[in-house]
Amino acid sequence: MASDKKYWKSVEELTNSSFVETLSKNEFVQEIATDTFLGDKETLANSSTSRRDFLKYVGFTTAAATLAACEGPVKKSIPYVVKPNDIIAGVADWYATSMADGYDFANILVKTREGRPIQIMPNKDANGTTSARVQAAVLSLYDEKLRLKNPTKAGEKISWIDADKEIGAALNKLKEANTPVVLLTGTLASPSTERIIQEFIVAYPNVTHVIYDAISESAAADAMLAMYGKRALPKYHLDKASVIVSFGADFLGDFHGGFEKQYVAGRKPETGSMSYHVQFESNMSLTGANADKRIVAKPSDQIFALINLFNAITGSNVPSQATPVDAQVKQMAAALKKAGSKGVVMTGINEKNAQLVALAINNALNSEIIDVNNTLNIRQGNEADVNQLIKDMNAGKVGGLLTYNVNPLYSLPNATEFANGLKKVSLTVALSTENNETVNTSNYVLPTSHFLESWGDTQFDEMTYGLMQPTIQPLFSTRQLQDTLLGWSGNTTKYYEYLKGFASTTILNGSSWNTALHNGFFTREITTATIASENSVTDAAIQLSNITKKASGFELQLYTKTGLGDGKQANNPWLQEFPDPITRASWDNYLTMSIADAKQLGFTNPVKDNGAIDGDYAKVSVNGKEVIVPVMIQPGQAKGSVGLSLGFGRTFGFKEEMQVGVNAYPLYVNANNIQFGVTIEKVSGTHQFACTQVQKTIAGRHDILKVASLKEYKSVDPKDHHHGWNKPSYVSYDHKEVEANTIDLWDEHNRELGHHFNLSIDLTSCTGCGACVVACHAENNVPVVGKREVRVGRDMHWLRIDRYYSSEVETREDAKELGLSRAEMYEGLETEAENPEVTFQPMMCQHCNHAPCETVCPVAATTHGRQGQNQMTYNRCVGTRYCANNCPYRVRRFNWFNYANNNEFDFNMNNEYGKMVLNPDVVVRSRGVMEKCSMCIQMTQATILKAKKEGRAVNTDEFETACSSACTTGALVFGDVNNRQDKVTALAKDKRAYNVLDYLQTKPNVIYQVKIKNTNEA
Amino acid sequence: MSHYEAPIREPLILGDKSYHDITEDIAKPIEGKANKNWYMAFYISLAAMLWGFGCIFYTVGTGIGVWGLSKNIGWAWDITNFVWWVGIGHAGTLISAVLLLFRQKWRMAINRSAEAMTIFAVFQAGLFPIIHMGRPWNAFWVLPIPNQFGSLWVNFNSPLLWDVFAISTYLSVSLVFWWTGLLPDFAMIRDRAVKPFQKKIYSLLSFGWSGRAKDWQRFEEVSLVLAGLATPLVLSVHTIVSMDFATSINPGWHSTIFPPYFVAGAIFSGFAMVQTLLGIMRKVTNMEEYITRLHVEYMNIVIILTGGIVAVAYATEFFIAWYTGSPYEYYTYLSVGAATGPYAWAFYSLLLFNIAIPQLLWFKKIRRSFIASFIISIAINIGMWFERFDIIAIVLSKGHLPSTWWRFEPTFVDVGIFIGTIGFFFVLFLLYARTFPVIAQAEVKTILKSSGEFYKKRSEQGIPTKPAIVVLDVEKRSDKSDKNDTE
Amino acid sequence: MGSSKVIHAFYNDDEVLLDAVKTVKAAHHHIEEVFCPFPVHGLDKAMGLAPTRIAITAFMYGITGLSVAIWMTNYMMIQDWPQDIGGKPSFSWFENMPAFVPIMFELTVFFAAHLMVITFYMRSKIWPFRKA
Repeated sequence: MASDKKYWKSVEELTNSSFVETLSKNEFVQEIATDTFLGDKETLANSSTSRRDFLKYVGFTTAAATLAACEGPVKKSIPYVVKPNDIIAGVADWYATSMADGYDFANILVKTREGRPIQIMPNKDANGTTSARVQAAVLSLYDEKLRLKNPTKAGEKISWIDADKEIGAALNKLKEANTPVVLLTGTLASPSTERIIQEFIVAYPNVTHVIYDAISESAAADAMLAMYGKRALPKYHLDKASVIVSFGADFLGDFHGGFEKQYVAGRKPETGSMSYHVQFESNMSLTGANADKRIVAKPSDQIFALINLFNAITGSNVPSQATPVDAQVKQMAAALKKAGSKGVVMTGINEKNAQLVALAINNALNSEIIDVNNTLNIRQGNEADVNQLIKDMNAGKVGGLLTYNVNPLYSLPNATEFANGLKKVSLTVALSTENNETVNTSNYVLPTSHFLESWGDTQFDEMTYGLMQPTIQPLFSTRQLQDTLLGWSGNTTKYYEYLKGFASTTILNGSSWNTALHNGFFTREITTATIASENSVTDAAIQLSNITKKASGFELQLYTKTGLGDGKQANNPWLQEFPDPITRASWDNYLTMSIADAKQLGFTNPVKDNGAIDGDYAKVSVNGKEVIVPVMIQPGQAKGSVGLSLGFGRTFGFKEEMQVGVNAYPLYVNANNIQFGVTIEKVSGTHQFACTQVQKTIAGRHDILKVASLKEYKSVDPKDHHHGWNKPSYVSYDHKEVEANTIDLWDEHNRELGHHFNLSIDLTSCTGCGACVVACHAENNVPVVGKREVRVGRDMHWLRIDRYYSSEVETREDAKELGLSRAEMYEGLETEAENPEVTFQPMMCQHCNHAPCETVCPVAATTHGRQGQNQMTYNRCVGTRYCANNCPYRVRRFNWFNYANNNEFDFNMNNEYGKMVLNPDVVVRSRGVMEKCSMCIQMTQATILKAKKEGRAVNTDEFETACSSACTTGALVFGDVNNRQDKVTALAKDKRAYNVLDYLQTKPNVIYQVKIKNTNEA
Repeated sequence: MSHYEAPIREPLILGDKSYHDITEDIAKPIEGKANKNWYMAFYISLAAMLWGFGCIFYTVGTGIGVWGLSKNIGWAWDITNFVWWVGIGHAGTLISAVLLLFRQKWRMAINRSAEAMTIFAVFQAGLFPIIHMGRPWNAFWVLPIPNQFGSLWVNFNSPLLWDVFAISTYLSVSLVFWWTGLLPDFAMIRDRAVKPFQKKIYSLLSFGWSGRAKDWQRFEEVSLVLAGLATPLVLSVHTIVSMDFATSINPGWHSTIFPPYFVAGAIFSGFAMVQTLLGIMRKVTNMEEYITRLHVEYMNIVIILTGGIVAVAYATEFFIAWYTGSPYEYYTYLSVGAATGPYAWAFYSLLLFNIAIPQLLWFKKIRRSFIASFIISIAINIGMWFERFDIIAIVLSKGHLPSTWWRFEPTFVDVGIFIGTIGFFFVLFLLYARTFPVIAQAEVKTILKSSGEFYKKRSEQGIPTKPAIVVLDVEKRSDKSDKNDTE
Repeated sequence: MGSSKVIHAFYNDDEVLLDAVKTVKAAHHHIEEVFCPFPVHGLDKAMGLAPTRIAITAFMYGITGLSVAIWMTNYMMIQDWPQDIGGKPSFSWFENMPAFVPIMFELTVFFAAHLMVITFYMRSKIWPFRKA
């Protein structure tokens, strides 16, 4: 019931309301007629703005502007309205999942903060390993430039429902007409997905599934099929090996997905025995760089050498050809025979016959190293099918093409044929995570989720069944391939349900789905054992040698870089900035050429006044195809051979600064990584390289990098005055020679209290793979600076891996023997050998207890922590750069510009999506301040706090840094030396332990372990 | 008369001069109009200065990245210029302090300008430590001032902080020393001034100096004590600057002979710059009779001496680099490594300009020639710049780890800022030459009778320096404004 | 001398002036003040002026500066916030002292020079805007 009571605020209001009226009118000043004068032009022209109004506006705007200027920009952050149970703000959640992008496969742990995946680490329970690419994959998730954001039809946005309707209709029409439809995918290695595809094919019998790998290893798979009746890749248990002979198999790189973990496990000097690894190769590969003995042989020689070895071991005499390396081959034959089942032979030549020969040799040795039962499923691509597909398309036989995360238009040597064929296909649907050439030419584009947004399962090898779970809600309107196919084949179950059902019924046999999901993997038993078929490979070998005999001209070996691989992640700035482990060049691919050939053809790599390296261009032509690439002179490259890496030169949809390198796929004819009859001619123009290291050798400074042979390690006293292999530096004290580290100018601070962190780096175990570099990048929000800046020596990597080549003159003793003058000696020390030995040295802040950088900072912005870190106080730093000059290790990095929110540096820190990868625990540095490795103090502190919360002491070996946990081979060991049980405590006292530049007595908290090589002497 | 001086000694003041003449000569440039040359020089320097300021603003606005530095070479032109300018800034105080202690009369004609040069040079020097910072707007953090962070102080272990104290002390002390000396001369100008504005200004500048006997007594005492303080100070400044390098651990920097060697080098370059400036100034302000061949020769002698010390230091450095046989020492800025490396050109230009060319001064003819010593002084200025560049760039370009060997190439900003400071320097000096008494008249007058040519001649003829008493007509004089002009 | 006469004399030569001063002094006349444009050596003695003690003050100022430096380095580096900087012994001023010598020296000079000059200005009553 409405009331007509009158409420009044004051007597006035009650009695004479008119007065209040007026008041209330004056309460708000009448509105200024802004529209009449700020409106469109003519109203402005004939506006009735009086001078006084105008002055009012002026006054107001000035005041407003002034006030606005007084306040800094305010960024609103929205707190959780309802806090998700599984998220505690400020505490990271880890999810076990798997990566499978068709080229890289890994069991991983994903670190999420407030629902954002920010880092990828290996899932060590599943023997997972990460490479630089796997580490960087988390950034590709946030690739706002290339990720597809919603389904489109002929470039026009379209709803999922319509897309499904139209495509379904089209498919049905093709089904009725029974015109073949091809589903073209990369290697999926996913049982459930394969099942779904089967069901799809059942629903659409005209569909065939073709698997296409940009980088093919089908030869190996076919060889396996021929010999073991099983199309898969063998696994190599290199940890058990005593002799490893590899003919151009880059098994520390991308050969069969890499075996560095097993390899290094078999090379621990403290166990007293190391595998003896000999590498015959033409390019300087990561594997060759780590080999005990690297024998340079151009591809054709490799093949003949392989055959010769085959003859020597199996006793057959396949017609072959003498090679310059036959002597070594004989030795190897002997060594392998001696090693017997502990020996193994591998070859990276993507040639079925070559692979067969290798398998035959291993068979003859009945090697335990090669595992044909627990085989790898990570390369299922089949060239034959792909070529057939291209033929059919051009013949107009194919009615529909569904592509899933493949980009044949970029990665096929005969891409143009494919393109022509594609025009004849009526229905082309691209299911893809990122935009690319192929997507662009398809009439339907259905965005699929990134693997970090997806459910799924993987089966890399027969034993480990990996599960994939989303770590973030899909960023864009995307849908997984599996859901799409289920939908099209009329199955209404969501893929998650499907997967759960599939796994529980066919894989998990009884054990809990949730446990498996939590662990991210499930181990299966292998039931079937495969036996080699008896048919001989002799004729295969004969064919091989006959083909190879035709070899002429330069021999080109195409390879994949540690950084970019097959080029799927080419738009990932972390990977582009990541320097190649061998050449230390970033943002480029190039033709690697031997010193001799370069001299002959007149190619040079001059060092410019700004420290950067230039190069000349070469026109490389292989049977008709031509590319123009810059030349990088590569010591250790086989004369008469050149190398070129695939995966570069992608341009479609890329920002200008990301379009680097040359696309070498056109030369990758019928997926053979070796091309004969190559001609090279010098063409005009100079290329600007961006190398992070210019000087190639150690220049006789052997207290930086110590190498010893296994024999020495076992028999010689490391401190022996003459033959010692780990001599400390001595100083004269009281006229006595004493170890420098025993005396000190002043009393030492007490470092026994609490934690004291040390990092041990085993140069024997470090393969230089660079996973740690990218991990550090991700953990510490290290900015990407781009090619221009890297070129002038301004890369920001906190952790770099120095690479040193050996020289002809290694020591003063050598020089004496050769009778060189001092100038000549130093010149010799500075110039690398034609075929050098290679050593990698991870280099980051050494956290010296007597840090030269701390002393010289005028504002005490860098000081020493109680836990041994050399700490950098960013907001105190005024940027005198004196610390950097006074750092003997040159590990300090200066912010020359603002690298975040700066259009000059348009990388991940300059767009909203890219910034989602930033680690909230680490500040983004502003311009003008120094930065450097912090020993991941945010991680160690988190560990301490965790222990505190749980009311316990920090466990042994609980402390980790990004680099140490990313390290596949366990070369980096981090820990607390005040805890006697910690691994690092023993390592710090190990007889291999030394400090770089210990003559300076900076007392670093980073310890290096002398590199031990197995020279196979007695 | 003031103390006796042997008549065979060359006169320091030429021509038939009386006290009044001196006054006239020194006041002329101030009271007169500037000639065309002055304006030309001034505008050129002004343009250079503005260009330099532009480059500085660009640097501060964009980031140090606009310079040619890199992760391995954190300093190059910035600190090179800093040390160069500081070095130049050593002659002035040295002349006025050390030579005063040694009672060197010849200093009197040049010390005013030398000190002016010192102060202006130290201005330039002071610029670089500030603009070379990544965040110059926080430069004041190097001062030990209480702050909102509580116990956050500076780091007294850092040579850079020693620099802060040394440079600021040096600059301020030189300034008061100079100014105190200027007071009587300002007073003189003030008393002669006819234009009211000019009179106002100079009476302000002269702090109301009246020349009372007691003031003169204190004045002389103060100058003496200041000289006593400034002498070790001047030596300490470059010692400390040298410690920026000497206390570091870079091979080639970490060298115990740096302090004396740097000081010698500083005096060397300082005198060279004085030589350069006076060579111009004596012409422009026609002070030929006060700044004589004798002065030039004396300065050249100092240059040979200090140049010799520097040369010996170079030799020592080179020898040690060779003698240690250490692979780290092999590439120091004075070594075979440097002579054969990418910076050989800088290495040899250092030897040419700093060692070879100055040797010409052994010949009396050259030593006493204005033109020759002018040219040589320029050469030395260049050479000393190269010395600093070599020390910094070459050493940093070959660090401990071969993987960090790099090179430096200046950008137009590097060059622009350097040019700018030279412009700034000359702007200040030219303004000074027009508005300040460029010669310490009060001091010169005290030696007129002992070392003036005119009086020397007379005393040779046995005529006493004391004139016959002349009775002055008071009325006639009373129109004169001032009491203390005793002409 | 109640009914005193003031003689105001000009001299165009220092030596003449000096003789005059001597004779006047000898005749036990009081010399109020002598103004000259440049220091005339021996004039102060002739006039019987007491020697100045400004040098002594300079010495004392110097001592002050030194003590300030010592106090400051000790307070800031050792007492208030002893940090581990390059392992330097921040727990003992004496062990860390060598690093502070430059500061101590500079501050000594700074105090001595400036305070002395200021004293001189004050005593002789010369400062900006003061009329002659």
